[in-house]
Amino acid sequence: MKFIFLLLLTALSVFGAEKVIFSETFTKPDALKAWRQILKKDGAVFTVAPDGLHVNHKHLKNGGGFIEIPVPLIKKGRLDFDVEVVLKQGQRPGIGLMVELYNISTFFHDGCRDWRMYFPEANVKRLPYFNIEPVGHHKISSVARNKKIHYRIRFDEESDLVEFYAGDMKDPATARYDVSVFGHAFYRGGYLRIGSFGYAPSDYYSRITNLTLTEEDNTVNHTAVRDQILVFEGMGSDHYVMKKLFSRETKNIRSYRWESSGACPGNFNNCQYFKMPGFATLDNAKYIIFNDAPNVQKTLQKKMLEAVSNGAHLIIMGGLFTLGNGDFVNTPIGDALPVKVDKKWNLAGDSKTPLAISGTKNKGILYYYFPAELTPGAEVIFKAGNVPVMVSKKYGKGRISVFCGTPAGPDVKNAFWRTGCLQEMLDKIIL
Amino acid sequence: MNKTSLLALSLLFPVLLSAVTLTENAGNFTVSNDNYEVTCGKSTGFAVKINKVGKTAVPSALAAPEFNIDNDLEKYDGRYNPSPASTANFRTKAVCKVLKNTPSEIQLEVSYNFYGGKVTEIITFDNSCAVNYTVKAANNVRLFSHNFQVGMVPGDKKGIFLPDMKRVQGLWQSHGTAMEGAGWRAAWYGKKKTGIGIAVPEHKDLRGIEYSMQGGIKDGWGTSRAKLTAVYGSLQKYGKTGEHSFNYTLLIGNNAKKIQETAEKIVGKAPENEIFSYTLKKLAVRPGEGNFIVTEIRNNSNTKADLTLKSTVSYGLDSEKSLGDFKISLAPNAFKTFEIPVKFPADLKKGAAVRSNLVDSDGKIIASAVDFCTVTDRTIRDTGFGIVNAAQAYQEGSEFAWSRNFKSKYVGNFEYYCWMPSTIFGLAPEEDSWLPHTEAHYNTPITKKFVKALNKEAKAQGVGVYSMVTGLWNYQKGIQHPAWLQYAKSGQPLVYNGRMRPNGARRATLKANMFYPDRAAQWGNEMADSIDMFGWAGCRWDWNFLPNVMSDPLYMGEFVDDWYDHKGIPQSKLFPDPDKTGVECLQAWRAAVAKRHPDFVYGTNYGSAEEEWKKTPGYHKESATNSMVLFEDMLGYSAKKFSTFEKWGSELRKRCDLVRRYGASPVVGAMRGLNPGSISYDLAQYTSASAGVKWMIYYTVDLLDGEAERNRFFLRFAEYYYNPEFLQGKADNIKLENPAKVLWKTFIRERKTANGREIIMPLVNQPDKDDFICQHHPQMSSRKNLTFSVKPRKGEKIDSVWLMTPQSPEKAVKLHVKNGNFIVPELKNAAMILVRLKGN
Repeated sequence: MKFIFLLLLTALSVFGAEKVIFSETFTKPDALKAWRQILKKDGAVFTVAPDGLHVNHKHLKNGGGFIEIPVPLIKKGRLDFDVEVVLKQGQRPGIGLMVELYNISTFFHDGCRDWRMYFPEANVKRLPYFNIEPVGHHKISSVARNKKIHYRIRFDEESDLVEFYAGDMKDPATARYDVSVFGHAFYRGGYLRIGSFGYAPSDYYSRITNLTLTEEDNTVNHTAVRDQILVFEGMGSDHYVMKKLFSRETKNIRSYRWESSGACPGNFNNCQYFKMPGFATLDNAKYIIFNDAPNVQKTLQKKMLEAVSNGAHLIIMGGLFTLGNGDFVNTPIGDALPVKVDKKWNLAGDSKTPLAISGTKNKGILYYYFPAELTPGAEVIFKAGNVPVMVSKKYGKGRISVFCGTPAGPDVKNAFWRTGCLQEMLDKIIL
Repeated sequence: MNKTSLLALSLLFPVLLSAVTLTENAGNFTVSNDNYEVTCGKSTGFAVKINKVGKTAVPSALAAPEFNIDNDLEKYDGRYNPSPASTANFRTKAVCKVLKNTPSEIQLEVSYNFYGGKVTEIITFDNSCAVNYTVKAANNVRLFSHNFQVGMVPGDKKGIFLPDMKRVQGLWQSHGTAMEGAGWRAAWYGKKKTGIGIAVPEHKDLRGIEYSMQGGIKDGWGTSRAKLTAVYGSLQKYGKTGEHSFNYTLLIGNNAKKIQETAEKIVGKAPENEIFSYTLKKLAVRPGEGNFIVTEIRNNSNTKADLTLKSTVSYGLDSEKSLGDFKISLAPNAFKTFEIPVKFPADLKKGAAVRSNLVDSDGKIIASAVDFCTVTDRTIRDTGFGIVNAAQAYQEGSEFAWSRNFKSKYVGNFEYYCWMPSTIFGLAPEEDSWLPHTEAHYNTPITKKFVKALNKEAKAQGVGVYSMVTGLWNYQKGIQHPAWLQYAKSGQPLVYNGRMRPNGARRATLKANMFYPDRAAQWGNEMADSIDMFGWAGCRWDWNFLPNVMSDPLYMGEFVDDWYDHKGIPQSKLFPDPDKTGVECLQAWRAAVAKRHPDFVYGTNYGSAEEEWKKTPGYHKESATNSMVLFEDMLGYSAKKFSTFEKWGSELRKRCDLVRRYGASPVVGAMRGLNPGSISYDLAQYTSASAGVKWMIYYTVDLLDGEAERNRFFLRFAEYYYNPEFLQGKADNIKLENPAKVLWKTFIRERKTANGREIIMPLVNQPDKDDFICQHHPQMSSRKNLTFSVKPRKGEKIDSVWLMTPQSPEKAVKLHVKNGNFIVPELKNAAMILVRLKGN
């Protein structure tokens, strides 16, 4: 049995789509021999232990030290590793472990219990109040202390894409679609670095192990099975409960929630999607649904439209946070919709004049809507009064539909989201 | 063997039959006697796990010493003091030894190191229901407690505490109650005859025993569990060195009388007649209202007791009047609770101390007790302010306990934070139960019944409840009114915050566009409906009507980019004069409420720095007029500009003077950066009160925090600490002749009187070294014989000088004045001096 397994493994590595470029568990005593060590007096100490590399963090602001090893530049691949932030009672964590590959830098902010990324940027771009952390850093995900967690950085240099996974390997915790994977490494050569940030109010350590750099195949999988429902849950998600509405269709629903990261007293919204579908997931998408949800980054939009032209169905459900108010104006998806989206604040209707949706057995009314100007190829599926509310058109092998009604106004019994009217409208476009 | 021979044998060899035995197992020791069977883990420190009391199995009962190491910064570095860390011995690797193993006594020793220092525990078992502990800890141990969590008999609805003979109404753990000083308490479950308790003898650092019972919320609620904690500390005053030693005894037995006898051997027998409990029914009463002394008198003797309760009231500076005598007759071993009405003298205003002496038939005083209250038509001015939020306070049956806890800390007003389903169109909810909307998204269902009872129970205790109000819609209510929302530049409604629950339910708050007087008046009417429904005493706004500032009052001074209305018109065009808009809307809101509820107190939260007043003077004035003002931004004492007690106190004083002109009562405090029990916590509160600003109090029963001692003093002498009549004043012509590290100039104020003026000089002692707030300080030295000289102005002369101290809070002491000089004999932490001048 063991022999068959080894044979299979060998076959995969020779003929398969992936190739392990570098791996290190840091469990053997001489594991650091090949690594260049740039250490500072009173800075971090790197110790190999039976359970991996212990990076002992000391308080030496921005000067903890690091180890590095040259690795080949690969355009598409992933870096996998396991990390545990080890804290004993009374130890006060700060910013500890750093893991960097090419131009992709990450660090663990143990004080705030999260994993963060940055792509080196100029000092002028420093965020206000962040005087210690690197310029332009962003949170990737929350991190539990004293627990080994598997992390993955997946990158595609040609698409300027980097996906960050933490624990959940199905979908990235976050993704950047507009970044340089190689940066200066393109000229200087690639390095893999493990460092300590040097901001530790009291000594503690991080354990890192099972480090693997894998090259991935570049070919696109055109034979993917489309069985996934990807739901971007915006503010109106309470009214559009997709698990219920799609219960007859499939159970493969993945949701991407648009949520605030803390209270925001300023006059802007600091909400964001805390997860993103990976490119591989989009290849499997049957429905991509925006539930009163704002738009996503351009690269992801393009990938979504690619999925639609290959057979997926993109559905935009109206609300106060989407369409003109949801960054769809002059965007790849905005331009592909069956309705023209060209301005903000174009909500029509009022709280006193309900419009009845026609063509459904279950009666439903709406108060507010986005006035739809149809684009070529669009067909009106449902109307409320004379106002088109459900509009749809073909897009390649797939389809794009927009629901122009919005779940705002009096929460009356016959509001469309309270009756079977909404289900009927969706049934009509998804079948 | 027959019964007779067994009896004979037991008489001949009593020790053999009631021995204590030790069984060594792989990972633990089991100790058993007639009273209990307990297990002590070996590899980690001993936590005594009680398996059986008598023959009754106990589901889970754990007793373990716990050390709290405060993480206060050794040296100020711009941060807040981090929260304390704690460790319990059963989580620590330890060395365990059997020191003694005889049929009459077993002694175990456990020693371990942890980041606070080395600890050695010696646990002694004998054949009684006592398990004696001697705990020695070295070095950096600053707080110590012995936690005794007892999960007794599930479903037992009859559990009580001994010797109280009562349940404790309140919530599990820190929301229960406490006894101060040496004594004993035991949880007793009569149904299964199981008792577990703790007896703590006198100790220089002992604060007392905190105790609570989960089933105490209301009869029949939940599972019976009890927790008893002996609290020592704060040991912080010793700094980093020194050894601490603690002795106390766990009580485990199935006979209530034996438990009591054992406890009394350790802490002493209760006196023949005693005042077991003593409190005034109401913390604040209106002029002419009167109050009630509620006291439990116990006769612990076998003879009938004829007693008299003689009561007096102290008020003003040193006035004292009799409240009459109350005759009590108690049968042998009887105890009884009395509710005695008292009528106060007509000239009693503000703080008062009511003392009762229990006198026997020979006229000898055998016990004495005191409590404090205030006679006021404005509770917000004369008593403290506290806060409790909907994540803690929501369980029906616990309503009484919240105001009881505040009252026990002499706090007469408290805010119920984030309770409502939506602040707009949700202050008088139609539904009977809801989840609070809040920015914190508490997942605690609130019922209308609870909120009503919370107010009612508070009122009965002379405490007022304040509703939080903020300009946020909950999402579901907000989207019903798209025209009443604020919008971002992107065209989206502005979201203050929003998450989804695991079940997919959307919880979010949206920013409201309420900047029109008619909308404000409608909102005010809704507040008035809410008062009708629940009976609020006041409100505390966490928002303001200024359209051009951030929605969080913490950043009120920071003007922001435009927001837009639903048509995309920027606020700067809609409201070109934000101050005027703010004043009009706030006046409309307040007028709508006052029309129906004239006594309702408007409270708000804003930074009141001088530069902010200049930006929006009208709104600041309107907000301050006869209101409560929270200076939340003044919690920034970790910042360099407010880092010392003097810097922070000076700024507080300045801000207080600004709002006092309009009758406001300012508040600061709670929330962050200082730890109860620390010197900084203590001094920060004395500093804020000296500046005329109340410290916002938490609801917990915490023997370490010292809130009761401080607040009863401020309550008693609110006339000087919190009176808006005292405004500007300087240290002109006043000198401290023998300079000491004391804040005294910072808070000098004065007021005019009919025949002269009065100067107040609040004093705050300072740490011996450094004076940063966010830093560990050991106990500072007492300042002895502080000699002040006062040079009256032309035409003035000193009438009298008075000293008020927290150590003797009932009356002020008149100081001897000679040639304008007077001496404060001793300043421990804080004091108030009043100088009365005649003439001019």
